[in-house]
Amino acid sequence: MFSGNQKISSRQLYRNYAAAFVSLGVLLPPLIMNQEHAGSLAAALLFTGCVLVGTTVVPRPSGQAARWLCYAQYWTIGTMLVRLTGMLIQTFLLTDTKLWIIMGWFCLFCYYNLYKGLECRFRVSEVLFPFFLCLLCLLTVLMYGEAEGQRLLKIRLTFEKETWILGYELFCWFSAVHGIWHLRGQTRGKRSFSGTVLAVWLTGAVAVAGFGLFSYCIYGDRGHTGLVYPIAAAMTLAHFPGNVIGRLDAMFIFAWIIGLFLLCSSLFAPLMDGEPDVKSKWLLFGLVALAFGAANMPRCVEWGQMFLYRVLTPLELLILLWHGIKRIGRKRTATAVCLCLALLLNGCSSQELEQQSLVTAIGIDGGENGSFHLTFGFGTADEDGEEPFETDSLSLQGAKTAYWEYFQKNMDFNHLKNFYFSSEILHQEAFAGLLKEIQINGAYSRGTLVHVTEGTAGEQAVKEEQPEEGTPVHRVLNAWYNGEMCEIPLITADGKYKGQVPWP
Amino acid sequence: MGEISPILAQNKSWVKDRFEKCDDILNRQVFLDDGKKEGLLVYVEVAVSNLMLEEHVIGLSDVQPLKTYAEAEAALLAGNGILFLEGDNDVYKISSKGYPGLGVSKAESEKVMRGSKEGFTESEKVNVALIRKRLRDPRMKVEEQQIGTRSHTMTALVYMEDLIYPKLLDTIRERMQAFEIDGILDSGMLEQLTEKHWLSPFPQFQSTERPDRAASAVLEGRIVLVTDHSPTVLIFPSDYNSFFQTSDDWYNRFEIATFARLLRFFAAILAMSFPALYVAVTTWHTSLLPTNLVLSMADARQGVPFPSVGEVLLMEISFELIREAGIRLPGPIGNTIGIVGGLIIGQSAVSANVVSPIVVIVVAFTALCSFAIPNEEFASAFRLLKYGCIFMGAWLGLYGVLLSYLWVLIHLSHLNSFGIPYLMPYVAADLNGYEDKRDSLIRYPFRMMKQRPIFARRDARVKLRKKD
Repeated sequence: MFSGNQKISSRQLYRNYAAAFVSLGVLLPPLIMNQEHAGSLAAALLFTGCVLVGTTVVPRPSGQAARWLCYAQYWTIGTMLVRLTGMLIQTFLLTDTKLWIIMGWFCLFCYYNLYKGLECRFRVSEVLFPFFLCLLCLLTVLMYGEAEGQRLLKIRLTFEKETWILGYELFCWFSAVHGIWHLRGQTRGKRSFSGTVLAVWLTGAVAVAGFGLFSYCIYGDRGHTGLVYPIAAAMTLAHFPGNVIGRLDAMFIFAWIIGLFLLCSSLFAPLMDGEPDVKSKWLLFGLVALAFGAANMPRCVEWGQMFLYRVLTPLELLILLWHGIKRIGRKRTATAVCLCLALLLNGCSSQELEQQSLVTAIGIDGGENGSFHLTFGFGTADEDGEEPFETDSLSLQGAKTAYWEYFQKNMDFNHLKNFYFSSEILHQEAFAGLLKEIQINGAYSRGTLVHVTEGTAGEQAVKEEQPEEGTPVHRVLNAWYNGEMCEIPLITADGKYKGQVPWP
Repeated sequence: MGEISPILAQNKSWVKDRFEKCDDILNRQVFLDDGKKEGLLVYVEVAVSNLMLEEHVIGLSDVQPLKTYAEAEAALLAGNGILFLEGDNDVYKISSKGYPGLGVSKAESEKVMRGSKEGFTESEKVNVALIRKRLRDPRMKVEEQQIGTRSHTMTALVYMEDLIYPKLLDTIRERMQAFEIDGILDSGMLEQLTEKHWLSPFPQFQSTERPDRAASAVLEGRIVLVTDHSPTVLIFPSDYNSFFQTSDDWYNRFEIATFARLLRFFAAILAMSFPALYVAVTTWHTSLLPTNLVLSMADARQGVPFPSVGEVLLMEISFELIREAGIRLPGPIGNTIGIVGGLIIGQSAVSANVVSPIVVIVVAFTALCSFAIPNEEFASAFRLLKYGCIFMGAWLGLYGVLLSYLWVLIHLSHLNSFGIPYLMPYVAADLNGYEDKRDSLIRYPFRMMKQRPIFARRDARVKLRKKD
């Protein structure tokens, strides 16, 4: 009678997507921000801005195939975010509660929020948006005293290959807000759709840049682990160092849960736009249940990221371009551009498998002149296997470079399972530098376990059978960063496990 | 409207047109001078006594001739009878006792510091007259209808014809006719039958015992449903905001009214979640509390045999029992049992180490909060949800409490009252150009509230303008 369920107001649209963008903008940039990554943030914002401009010009896809491809992208990001939210809650609020219970409730509420259709779900974000912003502002104010403004002077705006790649990865996460495209033509109110999209982008850009710089002022180059799994664990480093906000930690998790809840609802939502019917409600239920199932897999985020970076986001861009060019009636040009783009994207950062060596274990012993003696064990499918690589270096990056110089191959750390630290290096001054390097490069901390050896660490690293129990590296990093104690399993000289070593 | 016509048929036609659908305004054909002179007596039911009509129509009463239809209308709506006579250029005002006055009961459950003390009675006719007394406008229509195959309960829909959406009227008529029931004994039964979201704990009709509140709702473009034998009338459509408003919000200064509203909103949130927050914080997140407070709370819990959630549930159920007993017991005893029960049970439970003192404070504070919500049915919804919150808080800590908040928010977002989003004007406020926000959490100064809320027809929303 008074309001239909088909149309939403520009205000509702703005609040929903601004909350989604801000929640990503608060969570992700601090994880990658160091003095060299400001360019990545700028690139990500630039890419996102370009796509959002595209959504204001290009009509939303009408074909089922194109729409479903886009929905697949949102669903993938949503699924990853469900897991990350679950881990965030588990880490900070409910340490002893099973992850599936936390995620189960979260998914259930996402479904409950969505099943009544478009306008009803937007009402929720309309109400929650001010609370969300207030909590974030309060957090910022409380942490303000920790910020050191002079750090900003160290920031360098570089645009090297890595900068663009990192920017692209961040942009892929930001593509969570691209769903706004599918609501084109479903808004009412004074402000135009393009005006609303611009406002969303500006709000998100301010949040991304603001929190990126703000967190850099607090942590400097420390505490940033990159956009990698487990992001939730990395949040420990990025947002809650020691007692900065002390006992109010738990309260601020509220802000993130609210933001992530709104974001996930938006990501699972496209199916329920318009007036819902029974079939689409069941379909939505199935997809949310599927997301819940996928989120329960430990490597869900890792796979999701790969799929997102390499398949889904490029496809979405192609769809946008295709529709944009189709609109101006140049189908041949469109085909050519799309093909070229696909070829170009395929070429980005590609590396043949035979040119990579998959590192599965790293042993670190004391070396000469204060350096480390690093031993890299490689994973292999055949019996002979790849010979372990040993070198003296001050850093892992140095060893990687040396390996390239010797063998013209890249060491890939994405499958790294174990770190072995010999007990003698644990208290060396240079060890902090090594931890810093591990912290900054996410590949080292992707579910990697840490062990301490009484004998030579290198011997353990080259063993074919690698242990599956140890202290997760992010816990060691947390302890180091916060000056707390953690315990690491000890391997004796004869290769047996014997108790734990307290560290530091 | 002009001068009174000497032709009775024309006067009858004027009455018919002007007071169409006003079932509370009656007219009666009379014959004077041994049946030679025909006349038409028009009057507001209840406002004019039948005795007077039977015996003292002419001659004995205070009769005053009037010249114009405007004067006649004003006299009629002021509670007098008016008499048209064939061939007479005047209409005669017959003074009466007028509308029901101080004789009617006071509104017991909606007391105010400032404003009318009148409350509705159990008679539908009197209740309609109490609204008519405040809105003397022929555009205020009263549609009567009988419901109940055995009880034949009289109901009346009261509304301002030019302010409501006609479809709203059709909707309520459809809903009222959708059931056949043997008896309607109170407006509550009608409310439950005509609600769309009947599984929700939140009421979608606003109920009131105050005629001024009902009159105010009619002026907002809403419909009032009066049921015979019930001192509570129903108002619809209703939104979340309207349940936090009281009559004196508009009678007091805006600063005071705003402060009171903020308190009520705060109270509603705490009425639902304060015990749950206590349980969540003490069992999961003690780090949120200052060390000294944690230590003192831990000290207070020494020797208590139950977990925190058990303590809270025990005291909450005890409180509900006291409340229930207080309602059923006769007046003076009912009043005292609350105090005595609270004091004795609280004090004894603490002394016996059954509960810790802090739990008594939590439960008492929660009770205070629930009573600060002006609408009893609305407050009951929060009281009921409190138990779900406690359960979630005990199971999942603050995450559980947050989930409870989300549940309530999503549920409220899904609700509509006759097409109006229940969370208006906190959502979709743009539908009325954000005007409804002026009378929500913050009550704007009266001079700035120039428009009716969204309930009113789009072309009739201006309610206040400065004269040229």
